[in-house]
Amino acid sequence: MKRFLLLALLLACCSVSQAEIRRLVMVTATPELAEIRLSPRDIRKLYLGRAIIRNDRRLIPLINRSDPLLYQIFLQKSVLMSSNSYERFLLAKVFRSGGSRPQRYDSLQQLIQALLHRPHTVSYMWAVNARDEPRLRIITEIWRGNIR
Amino acid sequence: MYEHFRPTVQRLGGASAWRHASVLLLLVLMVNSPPVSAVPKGEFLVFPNINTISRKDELTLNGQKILPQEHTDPSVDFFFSRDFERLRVIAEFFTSSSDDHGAHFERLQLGWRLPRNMNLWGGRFHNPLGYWNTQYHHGSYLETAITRPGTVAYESSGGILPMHLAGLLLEGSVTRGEAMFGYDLAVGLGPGLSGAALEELNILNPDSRSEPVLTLRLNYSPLEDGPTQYGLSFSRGTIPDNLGGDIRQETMGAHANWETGRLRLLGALYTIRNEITGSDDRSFASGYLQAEWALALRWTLFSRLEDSRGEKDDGFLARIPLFVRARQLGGIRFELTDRQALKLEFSNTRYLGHHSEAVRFQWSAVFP
Repeated sequence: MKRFLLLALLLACCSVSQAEIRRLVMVTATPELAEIRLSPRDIRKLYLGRAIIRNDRRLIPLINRSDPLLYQIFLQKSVLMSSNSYERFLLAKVFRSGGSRPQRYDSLQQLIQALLHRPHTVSYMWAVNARDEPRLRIITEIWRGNIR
Repeated sequence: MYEHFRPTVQRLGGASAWRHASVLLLLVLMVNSPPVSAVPKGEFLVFPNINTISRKDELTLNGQKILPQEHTDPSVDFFFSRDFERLRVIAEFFTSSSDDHGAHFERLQLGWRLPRNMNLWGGRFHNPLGYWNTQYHHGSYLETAITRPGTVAYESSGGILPMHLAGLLLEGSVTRGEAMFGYDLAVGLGPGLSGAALEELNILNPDSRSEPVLTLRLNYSPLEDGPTQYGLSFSRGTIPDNLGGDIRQETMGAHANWETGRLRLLGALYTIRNEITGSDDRSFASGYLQAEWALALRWTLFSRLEDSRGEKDDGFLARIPLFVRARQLGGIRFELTDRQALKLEFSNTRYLGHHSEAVRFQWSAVFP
């Protein structure tokens, strides 16, 4: 029995060491937005097309689809919809009351360039990617967890 | 003979065609013009679909064919929207090979975004009556089923209520905690009764007689922007009759859309009072209940029941032979790709003195 418990403990330790702790964060490259507060509800409203005003300016959300896992976690934790439901929601909302859907990016580099060059834009990415670009500021953490 | 029962046909020809083409060209230029900033502020969507219908028998009335036995109808809906600071433009242009639709602007509205989540719109818009007419427009891809419920059918397709208005629309919402209360108030010119169907007001060629319609809609969503919602609506207006006289119409309705997991239920119930000039008024109730069940990622089963009570003595309804008094339908929807769907629908429909069993098939899509 002791041997079995030791083996189980060893396996559990191995599995923890193989897991990687990741942080999903909201970022901006607009200096005046670096200190703003965004609650989980604000983030949801922002990505559902509602106006979120900070420093008298409307925030512009950008969708990061460069990593399928990251996108799925963002949808589950922030938007509370599946990918298909979210796409359908945005399409139906625009078709019903006009406006435009948030710009989508399949490339992280293009997303970072858009954040750097378009004022008042915000998006989400892994914290490790945000730290690679010194002009990006982390606004808030959306999720933290293990990924195997 | 067939056209006799489709008085709302708006064929493109002559000055009308040029007018439509000019507006459409202007809109395409607007969406393709260099934006003020690099952030996109506009959308241009195309909703094509092809409908085929096969009925057990063709429907005739007084010896005239009103619904053919077999029919295929390709159509395209063009949608454009663009923001210019607080100003918002929406245009929806629908064109179909079918005689009962023709080609025209379904929506052409100019909006001003006001503080506190309010929008003031002017132009031609969908009457905010109930759930279906505010959620769905002419892009069939977004609807689970192929057909609209009879009570909220478009004017040219046997509809009995004003689905399009030309005037002013104020819409807004107030959030309280997680919940949202929404409201819509519309005042505009509605359709007229011409021959055997309602005729929508064409704002680019307003040669038909129209009278004002007032609509108020109140809505409650337990979760802001969530799918579940409940609401009430009230509408009052006059429908001018091209044979003389008017129909004063008053509609009260309740609607709901409830979703949980794979199941969705949506429905509405209306009481409608019609008073024809010189006659007693008549009231009847009409409604629908639709259930949708997501079988798997790409498949959805749906079923709808529609019924009316007390409608037999209504003189106004007697003028509209294509009004769906009762219907039972069932079908399945398959998501062919992320932007294309196939739908199959079986229905059993009761019209004025007629009955029809039909199978419909539809391919619908949205691009880009």
